[in-house]
Amino acid sequence: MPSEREIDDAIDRTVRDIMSVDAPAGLRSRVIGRLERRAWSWVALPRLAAAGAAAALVVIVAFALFTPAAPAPGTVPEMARTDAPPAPPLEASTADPAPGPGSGRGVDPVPPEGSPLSFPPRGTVTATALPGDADANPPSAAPGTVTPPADDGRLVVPPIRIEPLTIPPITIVPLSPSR
Amino acid sequence: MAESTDCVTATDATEESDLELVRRAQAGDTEAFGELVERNRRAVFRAALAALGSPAEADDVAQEAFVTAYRKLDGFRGEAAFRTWLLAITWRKAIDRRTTMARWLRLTVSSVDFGEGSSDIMDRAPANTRSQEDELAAAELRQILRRLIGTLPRKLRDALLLAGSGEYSYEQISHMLEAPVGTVKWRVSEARKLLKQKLGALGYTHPARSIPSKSR
Repeated sequence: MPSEREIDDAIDRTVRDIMSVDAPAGLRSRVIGRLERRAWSWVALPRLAAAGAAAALVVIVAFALFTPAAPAPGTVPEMARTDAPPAPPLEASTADPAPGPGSGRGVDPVPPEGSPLSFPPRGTVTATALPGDADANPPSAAPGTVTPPADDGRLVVPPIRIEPLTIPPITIVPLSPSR
Repeated sequence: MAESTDCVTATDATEESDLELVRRAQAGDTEAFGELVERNRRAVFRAALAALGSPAEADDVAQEAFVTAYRKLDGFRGEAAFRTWLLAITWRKAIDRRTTMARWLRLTVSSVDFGEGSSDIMDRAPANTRSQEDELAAAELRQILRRLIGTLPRKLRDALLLAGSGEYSYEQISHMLEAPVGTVKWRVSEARKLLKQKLGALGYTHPARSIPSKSR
């Protein structure tokens, strides 16, 4: 007759044997290590966010300072309507009645016949544009902002107006550290 | 009556100590939490082992369970014992891992064999009380039982392994499995009954003597 008790005993022993595996050594240190790494990341995250925000602020300020404001499309640029004082007469070489596309910069690449040649001073760089060059204007100049020459052949140089830059306040919400 | 009071006091003292560690850990003391890890690491690891069958997976889940417990420590209000609360977290983690692992079927088979290299309780019987033939037969029966345990339905196997480990109370198992204590006991009983039926089908009416004729 089979012994019920022996079978029960064998089952108990087998189950205990299966479950008698101990945890690998160093579980505590590994858990604490993970917790500390996690805590460090929570501390470092606001600092990284603040550094990133500061860098973005610097970039925005620099971009705003060195980029001229573009007028709204379809409106007459304010700079062109400025009542500028009459400019002093320029040299004869710039008094071309039909200036080319690059005349806005005061240098005519092809002086009229009979006029004395004038060259820019040494060490300066001048830009010119050929007829038909659509991108003759400098990149920063918006369409319609090139000041046309006056009727008397003199160029009108509008005054440069620098408006104060208003920077909206940046609020950085501190992150609450949590586990 | 006096013994009962002493017993309750001793238990409360242990729990108070755990609670004190929990309070310190809640205040950010990782060393206090490390002490809690040390106290509960074996129970946590074995619970994960019962669910997963693989010591490597169980170790990984045990780590995750402790980290999760630390993160949720503010939500622990001491309504249950810390170990019970921790084991419930561990069991959920282990079941999640088991569910998402497509290789669970293979692990079930391997769980029959895990622990082969560990010390064998059945082999520790004194040599003068068991013949060599009996020892061989018992070892073979043990291997067959491991395989049969691996083929049990999951709910029955979980209850059998957790209860049979001697590591947890029925209340703790009930909390882990989210089943009443009576249900847990019924599952353990059903698991044993099923194992005996399978053994009977294999002809193992006596664990030590019927193996040679049936297993070969």
